[in-house]
Amino acid sequence: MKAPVHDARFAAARVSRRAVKKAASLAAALAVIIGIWALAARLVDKSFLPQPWGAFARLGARLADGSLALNLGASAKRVGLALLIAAPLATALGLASGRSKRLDAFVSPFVYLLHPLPKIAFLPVIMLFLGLGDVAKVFLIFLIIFGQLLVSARDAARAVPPALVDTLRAMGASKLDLVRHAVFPFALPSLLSALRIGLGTAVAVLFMAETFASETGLGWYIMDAWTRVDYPDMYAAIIALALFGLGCYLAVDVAEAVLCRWRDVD
Amino acid sequence: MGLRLEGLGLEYSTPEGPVSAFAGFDADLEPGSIGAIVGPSGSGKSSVIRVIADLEKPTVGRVEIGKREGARTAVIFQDYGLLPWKTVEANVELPLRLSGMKAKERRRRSRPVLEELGLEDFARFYPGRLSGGMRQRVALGRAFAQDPDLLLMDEPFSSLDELTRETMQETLLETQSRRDTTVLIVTHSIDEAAYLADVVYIMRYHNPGRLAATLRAPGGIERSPAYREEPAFRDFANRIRRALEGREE
Repeated sequence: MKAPVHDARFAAARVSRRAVKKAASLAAALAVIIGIWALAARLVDKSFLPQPWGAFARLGARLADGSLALNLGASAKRVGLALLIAAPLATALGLASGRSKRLDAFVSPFVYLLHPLPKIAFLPVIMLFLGLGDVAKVFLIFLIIFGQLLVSARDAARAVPPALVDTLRAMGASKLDLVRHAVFPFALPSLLSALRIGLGTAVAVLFMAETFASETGLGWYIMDAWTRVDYPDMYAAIIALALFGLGCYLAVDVAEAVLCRWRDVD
Repeated sequence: MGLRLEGLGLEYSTPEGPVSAFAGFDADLEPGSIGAIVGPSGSGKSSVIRVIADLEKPTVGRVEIGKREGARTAVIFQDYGLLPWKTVEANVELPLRLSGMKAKERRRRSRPVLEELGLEDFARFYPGRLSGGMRQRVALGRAFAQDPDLLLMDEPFSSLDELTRETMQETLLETQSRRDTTVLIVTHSIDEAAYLADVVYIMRYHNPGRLAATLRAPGGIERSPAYREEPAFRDFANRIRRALEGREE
């Protein structure tokens, strides 16, 4: 029973092998999408569907002159801020209500009623209350991420195997120890999955929110380019928004690879 | 005294009213000896362990552990209770960490135990990469790293294949005898009880579960794989079987 190398090193090698594989398959899929786009542009032959290289060239130019970066930054700031506020609050409340029947009896009815509602429908109400500025947009995205994380955290905390809880209690673990060593690590993969879904929805909703009474953000930029009839500019911003969404996904993937290494077992 | 139980009983409260898990359990285990609780499912065996481990408060009766104040108890459950997100080393050190021990001291305590159980090369492994027998070794390591006065085990080897199970029984005996730890093990296996235990407590389901008989292992035996083939071992196993069937009290 000799193990010549540390497990952690094996795990690192596996992770990097997988990363290369994933990058290769993403590149292949991207090539297919661009190919279809190019073909469609040739067949349609209208100004509202430029060739992809035109759009990418414009993307490069707008990134270089800083105008897209400014709007990308504005969008990222809104999502980032909402995430920063929502994640700790939703995780704490979700985990606590998953472990406490009394708290859950209070929280769950609200979740049941409010979670299925399409938050975007409340955009006008939120804007009436919080104004047309950033606060309303951040709040809307906060609601989406918060709801998604809260439900996942609560359900995961409920599902912690009782044997693990007993084992820790038998060692004299406090409630905080239980959360730290069992409940949170157990819930983490579910939380990251919820984050992936939440961020996806958040980027979509952000686009909607930024089309109202905004003068910054990728959503605004896309609509603005549309009204200026500057289609390459519009597509450049759409690509930027898509890349932003992809970036969010990749960030969660990286977080998962780092924080949930233990799941990487055969 | 290693472990003394006096008139121990437990009732669970349920929405339909109190349900008795077991009642009237008396036991007196010498320090360094091994006791086994054997009985059918539902006879309250695991509940006895939970009460001794202070996971449930007994409805009646008393539990006394060890010779000294603040005696330490370690528990190993059926599915080992290893945290999959902690490495072997971190799992073994967890109870020490919970007791507030500094990292350096924890390492100093866990290293020899890992070596003793042949786990030193697997210290950085996550439990998911280990076989059932290895995981059970980690659970044993975690228990013994606490240097417990009493080790409670709830069907610890039941998910292992027969040969691994026997190897683990040897490992338990070796580690236990070196430290003179008192052990109380719950098992379904008559052979396991007959091989490991100095005292076997037979539980039967009488609504609630009750201690039906207390059997002592034959004197002057030396536990080794050869003992499994001796008549004394078979006789003891048969006595346990008869007691379980209610043919010997």
